[in-house]
Amino acid sequence: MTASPADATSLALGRELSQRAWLILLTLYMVVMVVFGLFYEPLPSIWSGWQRILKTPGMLVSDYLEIGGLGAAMVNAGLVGLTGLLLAYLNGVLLSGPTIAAVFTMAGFGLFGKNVWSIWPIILGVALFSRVVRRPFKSYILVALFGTALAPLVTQVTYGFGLGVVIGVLAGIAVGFLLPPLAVYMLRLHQGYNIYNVGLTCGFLGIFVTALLEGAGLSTALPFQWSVRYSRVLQLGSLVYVSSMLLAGAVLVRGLGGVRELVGEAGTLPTDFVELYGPGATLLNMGLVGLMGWGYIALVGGTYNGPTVGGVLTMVGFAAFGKHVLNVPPVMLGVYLGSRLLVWEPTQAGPLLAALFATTLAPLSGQFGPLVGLLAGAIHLALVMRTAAWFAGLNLYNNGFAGGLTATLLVSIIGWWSNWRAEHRGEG
Amino acid sequence: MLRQKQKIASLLDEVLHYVLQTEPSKVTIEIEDLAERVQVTVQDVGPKRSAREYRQAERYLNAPRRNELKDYYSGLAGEESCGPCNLHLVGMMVDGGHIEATEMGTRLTVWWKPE
Repeated sequence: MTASPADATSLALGRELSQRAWLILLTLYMVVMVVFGLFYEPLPSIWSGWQRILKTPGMLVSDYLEIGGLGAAMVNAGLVGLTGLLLAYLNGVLLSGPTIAAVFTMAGFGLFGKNVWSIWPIILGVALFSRVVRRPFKSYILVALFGTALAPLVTQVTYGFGLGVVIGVLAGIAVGFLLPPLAVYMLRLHQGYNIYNVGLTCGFLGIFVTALLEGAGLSTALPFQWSVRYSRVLQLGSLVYVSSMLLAGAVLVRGLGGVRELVGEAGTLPTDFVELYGPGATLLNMGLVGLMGWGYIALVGGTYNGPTVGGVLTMVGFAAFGKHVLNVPPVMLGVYLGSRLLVWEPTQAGPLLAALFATTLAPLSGQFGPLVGLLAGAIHLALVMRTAAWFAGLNLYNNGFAGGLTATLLVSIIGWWSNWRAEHRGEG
Repeated sequence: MLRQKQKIASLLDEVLHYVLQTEPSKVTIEIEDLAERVQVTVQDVGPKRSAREYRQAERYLNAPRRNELKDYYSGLAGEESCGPCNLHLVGMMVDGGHIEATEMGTRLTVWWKPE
């Protein structure tokens, strides 16, 4: 039996989308946020709110809805997402799973921590690295886009410590420069089982940066700005937003063969659903995973605000790059049960965000089964409640960092166990 | 040249990880440095895979070349991971590949143009 390339692609069922069509679709999803923001509040109010957002340090947890209002926060989020999208497109990067994940993650964190200027020094730092090692920038563009998790360092140095824009920008460039080699190395620790690998990288780097800053007498207190004002409107808005992806997927998909194959994937890095199963199955998955995030907040009675909707958007993005409707629920359930069994409530900010972002560990569930996913979620919760303080909230992907450590722990134990069992069987 | 050797070694590691899943009785590896391309062929003698597995593997091996993924994620090559996903990494690192069932087992070939 010989499989021809034609057979090989036949599993990607449904209509294909050209790169231009993907650009239009993703642009629409970002522009909708900007337009919604512009219509939600009067322009002067948005302008003043945006000024506050741009000058806020933005460390975890700084809800831009609380700082600048819903209108300004949505405009900022849409523009941050658009920046990522255009940067990828203009550098000739395929608009596919990883890029979709990066764009939605950037937009999501544009609601709590990233703004249109603080992301640039990090990106420039990565660009500088690629220039030094004589590789095209596009080779490291994903690290650059995800690496904007360290954007609060730029704003904290500039405004929080009052050292000025130049020092803030230089600090951002310096950490951006260090990200690519670290990110590649960090992958090996968890072997691709932590989807937010750059979160682990930024957290690791953030620990050193925080130590140096504190050594220089520049201490940082963790802020906690958590909006409850706009929960109702965001609940409805985000429901329509993620549901539209279901609709788009339904239009593009033909049959459920591709979806069935997609949910059979473990989801380890790098699993690009767009490339493997086509846009229809991917968009359906994005809509469904988004609804899971949205539904979890509703079920536990949580608040819809910048960080939680950012969490839903991140889940949606990574539903094109590893997360799917079967590997996500065990991890979320693990966080829920963990918070019930331990000292937290599922509606508290930390556990609520952990449930949404712990889905970075979905590949553990996809590969080793739901029980491992459940365990991973519970362990992750206990860890993530401590880790933000280790890097003073400067790394926005706190769950990516804790997820990386959790994945490393579990993968090393599982790896050792399966090897030991195989050897033991051999002896028997 | 060192880069090329490293690439072949980590790529072979991934391919062998995949090939050895079926517990073949014999595996033959052929590395050819042709004029314009490097070609690696791994032929095994042992149980065959299902048609679906061949189809999936072929799809992974012929994934479009992605610079934005290659430099970053190829660091995972050679690390333990799940079944067919290993070939996804391989597909990212090569220009093309082909997998087919033979009389005795399976033959997997990948090729790429040296940088």
